[in-house]
Amino acid sequence: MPTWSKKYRTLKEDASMKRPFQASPEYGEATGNLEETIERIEEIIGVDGDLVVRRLMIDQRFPAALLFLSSITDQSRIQEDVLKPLMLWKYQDEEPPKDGEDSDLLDRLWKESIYVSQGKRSSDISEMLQLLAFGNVLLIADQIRDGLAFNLRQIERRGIEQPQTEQVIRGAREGFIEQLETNLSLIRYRLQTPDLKIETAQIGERTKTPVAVCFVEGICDPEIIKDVTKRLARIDFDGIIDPGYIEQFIEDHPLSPFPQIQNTERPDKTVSALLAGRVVILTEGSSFALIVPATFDQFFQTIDDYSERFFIGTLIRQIRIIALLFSLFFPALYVAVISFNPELLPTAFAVAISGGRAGVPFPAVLEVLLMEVAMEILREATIRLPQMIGGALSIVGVLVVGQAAVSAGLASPITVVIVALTTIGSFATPAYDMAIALRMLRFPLIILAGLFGLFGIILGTIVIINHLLALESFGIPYMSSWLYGSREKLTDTLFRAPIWSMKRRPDHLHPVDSTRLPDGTASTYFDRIFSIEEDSDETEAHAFDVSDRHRHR
Amino acid sequence: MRRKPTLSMFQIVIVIASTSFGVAVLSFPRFMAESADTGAPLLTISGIIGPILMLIPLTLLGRRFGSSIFDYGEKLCGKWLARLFNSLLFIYFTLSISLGFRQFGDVLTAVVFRKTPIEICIVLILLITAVACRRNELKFSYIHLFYFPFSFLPFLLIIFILLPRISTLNLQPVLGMNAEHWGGGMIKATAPYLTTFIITILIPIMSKPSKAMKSGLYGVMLSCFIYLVMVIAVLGVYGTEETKKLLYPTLELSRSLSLGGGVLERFDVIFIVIWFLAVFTTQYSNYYLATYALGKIISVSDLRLTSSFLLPYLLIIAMLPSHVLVTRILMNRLEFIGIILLVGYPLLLLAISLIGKKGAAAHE
Amino acid sequence: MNDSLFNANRWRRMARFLLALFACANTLLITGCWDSLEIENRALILGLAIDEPSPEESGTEEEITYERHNKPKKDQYLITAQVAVPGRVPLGPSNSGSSDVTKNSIWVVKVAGISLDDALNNLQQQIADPKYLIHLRVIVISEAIAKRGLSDLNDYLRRNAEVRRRTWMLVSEGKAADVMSIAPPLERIPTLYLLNLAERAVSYGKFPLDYLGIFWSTDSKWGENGYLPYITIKGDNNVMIKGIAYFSNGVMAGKTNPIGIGAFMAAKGLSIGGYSVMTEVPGIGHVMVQTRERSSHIITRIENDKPAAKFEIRLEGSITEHLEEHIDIHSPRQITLIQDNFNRLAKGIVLELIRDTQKHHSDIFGIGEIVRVRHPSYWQEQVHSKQDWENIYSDIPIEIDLEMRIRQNGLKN
Repeated sequence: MPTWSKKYRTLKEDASMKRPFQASPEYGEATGNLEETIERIEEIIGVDGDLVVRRLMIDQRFPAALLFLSSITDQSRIQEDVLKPLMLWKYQDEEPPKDGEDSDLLDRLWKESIYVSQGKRSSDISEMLQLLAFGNVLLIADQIRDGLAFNLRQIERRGIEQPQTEQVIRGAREGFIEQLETNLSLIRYRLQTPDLKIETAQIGERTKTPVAVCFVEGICDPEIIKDVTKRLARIDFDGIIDPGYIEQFIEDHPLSPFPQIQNTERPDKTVSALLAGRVVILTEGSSFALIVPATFDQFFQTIDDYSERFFIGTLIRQIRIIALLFSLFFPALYVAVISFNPELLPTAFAVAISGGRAGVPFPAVLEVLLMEVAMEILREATIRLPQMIGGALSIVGVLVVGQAAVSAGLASPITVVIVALTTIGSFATPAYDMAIALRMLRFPLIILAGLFGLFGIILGTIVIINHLLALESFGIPYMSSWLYGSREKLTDTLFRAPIWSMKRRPDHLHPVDSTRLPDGTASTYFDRIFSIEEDSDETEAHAFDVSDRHRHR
Repeated sequence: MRRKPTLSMFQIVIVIASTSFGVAVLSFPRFMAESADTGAPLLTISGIIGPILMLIPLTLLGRRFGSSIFDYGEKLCGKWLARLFNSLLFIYFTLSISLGFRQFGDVLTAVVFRKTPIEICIVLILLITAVACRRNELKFSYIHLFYFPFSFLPFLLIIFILLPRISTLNLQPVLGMNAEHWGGGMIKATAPYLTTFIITILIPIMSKPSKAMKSGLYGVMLSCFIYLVMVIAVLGVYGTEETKKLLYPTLELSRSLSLGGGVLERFDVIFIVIWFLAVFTTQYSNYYLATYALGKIISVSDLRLTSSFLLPYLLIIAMLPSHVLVTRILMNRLEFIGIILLVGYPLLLLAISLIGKKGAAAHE
Repeated sequence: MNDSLFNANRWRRMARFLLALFACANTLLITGCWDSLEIENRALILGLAIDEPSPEESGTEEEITYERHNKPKKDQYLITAQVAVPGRVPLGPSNSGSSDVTKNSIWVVKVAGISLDDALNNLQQQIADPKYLIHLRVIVISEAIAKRGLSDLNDYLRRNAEVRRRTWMLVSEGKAADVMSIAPPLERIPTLYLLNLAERAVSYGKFPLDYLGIFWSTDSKWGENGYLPYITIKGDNNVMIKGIAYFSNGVMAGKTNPIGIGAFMAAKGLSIGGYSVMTEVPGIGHVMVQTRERSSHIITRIENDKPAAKFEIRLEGSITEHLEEHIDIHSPRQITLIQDNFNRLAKGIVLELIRDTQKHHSDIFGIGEIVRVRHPSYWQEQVHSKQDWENIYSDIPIEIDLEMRIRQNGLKN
C-alpha cells in the first residue's frame, strides 16, 4: 500500500494537467484487448482502492480477468460460484471461439459454467464501470470486446426491528430497513396478490439510487399513478440521500408548513395505504417509505386505531384530536383571556390569578413566549442527548426549570402548567412532520392573541384553515374528509366506524374498485347485535345482499 | 382525463345555508320585534318568499345555460344591457360588503375592543377575505363547508341550553299586534338571504344541476330555520319590549348563559367569535360575487387580480358612514334596492327566456 | 434580446419583493395591542353599593364631568365600591381563613357623584388602575334610592357592555354601604358572599331567579312589574333576605315580609319549593309543613269590561315538624285536616300579598301579560302604556284556589 505523501505528490501532478471536469463522461467502447481494457478501468477507478483484478486462464488457453469492488461483492460466492467453475471448465470444441458469434466464449461460459442467476453483457466502458459500481463482478476475456457482469452484490444490513419513531401497542414489530429488496419483500408477503405492481427506476445523477413505486393495479386510480411518474421523472438532481429529498421535489405546495406526503417506517401501514388506493415510494438507502397522496387526517391515525375495536378506536382518536387542539390553542387562549378578556374566568379565580401574576414583570404574551421558546429549545436538545440523560432531562426540565422560573418571579405558576400541558399534548400527534408544523404554528397564534385577544386567535385560525382548505396532494384536496363528500370519509375522521361497516373505500382517492366487503355485511352484524340469541341464523352476508355482490366501480 | 370534481347536492345546501347566515344575525330579532311584536317568528318565515323568487329563475336559467348569470345575461338581453346590470350587481355587492364590514367593526368596537381603532378591525377581516377570494369556486365552497358546523352548531347549542328559560307567554299572540309595520319588516326579513345569489356561480360546478333548485331551497330553509329558532329564543326569553330596547339581542342572549354553575359565564365573548365565523362566510360570499362580477365586467378571469384590486376601495367605503345609526339607515336603503335588483333581474331574464322559447316555438 | 427580457423580469421581481417587504413592515407598525391589559393591572370592581349621600358627603364630588356653576342635576349618589386587590387572595387552598386575608383582599372606596357614570369617573380619578365592571357581581341599592327611581341607574348599566346581565341587584333596608363592609367568615371575597346568598337562595327555592337581566326584561313588559330581593343586615356579619321589593312606575312601591316570598313563589308556581308554614290544627297541634313542589295556573276572563283573574295553586309538601308529639299522626283523615288548615292559612297569606300589590299598583304576578295574550282585543283597546295596566290592575277581582297535598311525614312514624 502506498503512503499518503506519495499519493499527495501524484495528486498535485495530476491537478497541474487541468483536465476539464465532466460528470459521467463517455469512455467509449472496449477494444477486445484484455490488458488495455484492464488498464483503462484501473485508470478511471483507481488502483489503490477496493478494485480487485483477478487474472486467470480459462481452460489454460484463454486469458481472462475478473474485476470487482471487494467492498460490495460477496467474496465467498465469487470464490465458490464464479472462480471455481471457471477454473474447472474445459472447452470442448477444437477451434477457438469467435468473437461476436452466437456461441462465443462468454456465451458458452454463461450457459455451461458459471453458477450465477443474473448477468449482463456490455462492451461500453461507461456501462461496465457503472455495473462495477453497482456491485457486479466483471469478466473480461482476451479477444472478446464484450464484458460479462454478474450480480453478486452483498451489503451489510441491520436486522428488522420495530421502528423507533412509530411505536404502537398492537401491531407488527417489523419496520423497514435500508435495503430496498428487503423492504419490498416485507410488503410483498403482506400483499400476496399479483395485482401489486412494483416499478423500479433510478433517480439521482451520481447516486443512481433505485427508487421503487408500488401500487395495487385494480384499486389505484391510474391518474394518480401517472401523476407520480410524471413528477418523479422531473427530478434531475445530483444525489438522493433520503426520500425526504424526493418528497421536497414532488410535493404540491413547497411553501406550506403542512406535509403533503406521508412517510412511515412500518410495512403494515404501507400495505393498508396500498389497499386504500395510494401509491408508495421506497428508496434504497433509507428505511422511510413515502405515501402519496396524503390527506390531513392521515397524519393523526395509527395502526392501533384499526387493530383495536371501534369504541376504543373512536375514543383514542378523539383524545388525540383534543390533545392536538390543546397544544395548538391553549397558550394563545391563556394569553387572550388574561390580557383581554378576564371576564371569562370565574370571579374568585380571576382575582386569585391576578395575585399569582402580580410579581411577574412581563406581560402575559412575553411570559408565555419565553417559556414556550425555552421548552422548544429543551426539546431539541433532548433529541441529541444519549438515551440515559435525555429521558430524564425532558421531564426534569419541564418541572424543575418551570418551578425555578416561578420562584424567581419570571413566570406565574399557571403559565408553567399551561406550557407543560401544551408540550405533552403535542406529543400525541403520531406523525413527526405534522407535529412540528403544529408546534411552529403555535407561535403566530400566541402573538396574534397578544395583539388582538380572542379575535386575533380566530383570525389566525381562519388563516390556517383557509390555507389547509386550499392545499392539494396529487389532485386530492387535503381536507377531503371534512368536506361531506361521502359517508365513509366522515365516519373515519372523528370516529372510527366498525370495521364490518366500512363497505367502501373512501372515494376521495377515486379508486377503481371501491368495494371492501360484501354489501350485506354490516346488516349481518347489526342483526346479530340487536336480535335475541338464537334468532339470527343467517350469518351469511348474502342473505342481505340484495344486489348479489358486485364490485362498485 | 380525470373527471372534474363537483359539488354534491348536500354540499350545495350547506354552502347556501352558510352564506345567508351572517352579519344580520345580531340585530335580526330586534328588527323583527320592532315590526311585528310577537308576530316576529311568522315574519321571519315570511322572509323566505324573497329568496324563493330569486332562486327559481336563477336555477332554471342556470340549468339551461350552464353558466352564471353574468354570462347568460348577455345572451338573453344583449351585451350592453347585461353589462349595465352586471355593473349594478357589482356595485350592490361592493356596497353590501363594505357596509357589512362596517357593521361588524361597529359591533367589535362596542363590545370587544374599546381602544382598537375600527380601521384595524376592518382591515384585518378585509385582508383575510380578500386573500381567501383568490381561488376557484370549488375551493370557495370548501371553505363554507368547513366552517358551517362551527358557526351553526354553537348557535343551536346556545339556544338549546336556553330552552327552559323561554316563556311561551312572550311569544303570544302569534300573529302580533301591529300589522301595519309588516312591510318594512319583510324587507328586513328577506335581506339576509340575498347573498344566496351565489348559487348562480355554483351551478356550473354542480354534479347534478337539475337538483339545483331543490338544494338551494333546502339551503334557504335550513338558514331560515336557524333564524327562526333564534328569534323564538330571544323573544321567548326577553319578551318584545325588552328585545326592542336591546341593540344586539342575540348577543345579550348569549350573555345570560352560564355553564357549570357559574364557572363559565360571559359567553358573549365566545359568541362573538362564532358570530365572526358566520360573518366571515357571508361576507366571503359577497366579496366573491363582487370579484367575480368585476372580473366579468372587465373581462379578466384571474380572480386574484380583481380581489386585490377591490381591497382599498372597500376599506374607503366602509369608513364613510360617520355613525352607527347612519350605517343602519344606509343598510336599510341598500337592502331595499338589493331586493329589487336581485329578485327583479333574474325574473326579468327568466321572462325574456320564456318569451324567447315561446317565440321560437311559435316560429316553427 | 433574451437578455433584456430577463433583466426586465429581474427588476419586476425585485420590485415585487421590496413592495411585499414594505407591506409586511407596515403591518408591524400598525400593531399596537391597544386593548391589551394584564389582569393584574386592572381594578376589578366586584360590588357596588349605591346610597343617597348625607349632606356632608354630597358636597365632596369633584368637578370631573361638569363645572360647578353649570351643575346639570340635583340628585346625587354615594357609591361604595369593592375593588379587588390583586395579590392578596391566594391561589389554591389556604390554611387559615384569617380575617387579615379578607380585610386586605378588598379595597373599599367611597365616592359621590351626580349620576352613576359621574360617580364612577370620580372613582377612577382616585384609583390607579383602570376600573372594569366585568366582574361586577352584586349591586346593592338602598331603599331610599329605590324609592327615588332606578331609570337612570338602569340606563347606564344597560349601555355599558361590561356589565353582566347575571349581576344581582339587591335593595337594602338601611344604608347599602354597610352591606359592603361586612366581612363574613365564609368567603374570602365579601361580594361573593352576597352573590352566593342570592344564588343559593334560588337553588334552595327561597327566592325566584331574578338577576338584573331578568328584572329588566320583566320591567320592560307592559303587563308585568319587576321586583328585587330586599335584604337587611342581621347582627355583625350576616345578611338576610327579608322579602321582595316590588316596583311600580319605575320606583319601589312596597315590600313584603319573608313569608311573602313563599306566597309569591306559590302564586307563580315556581318549582323548587322551600318555604314552610306553621299551622295550628285543632286536635293535632302545631304542624310545620314544608312545600316541596309548586304549580300554578292563572285563569283570566273579562267581566263587565274588566279583567278578572283566578289563581289555581297546587302544592305538594311534607310534614317536617309536629310540636305536640304525644298525638300521633297516622290516619289519612288527620292528613286531610292538616291540609285543609294549611290551605286556609296559605290562602290568606297569598291573598294578603295580592291585595298589597294591588294597592301599590304593582303587578308582579304577570296577570297583565296573560290578559294581553288571552284577550288581545281588550288589551289593544284599553292599554296604551305600562301605567294603564298598573292602574287597571289595582282594582280587578282576584280569586285564589289553593290546595296542598302532603306526601311525606319524614322518617318518624
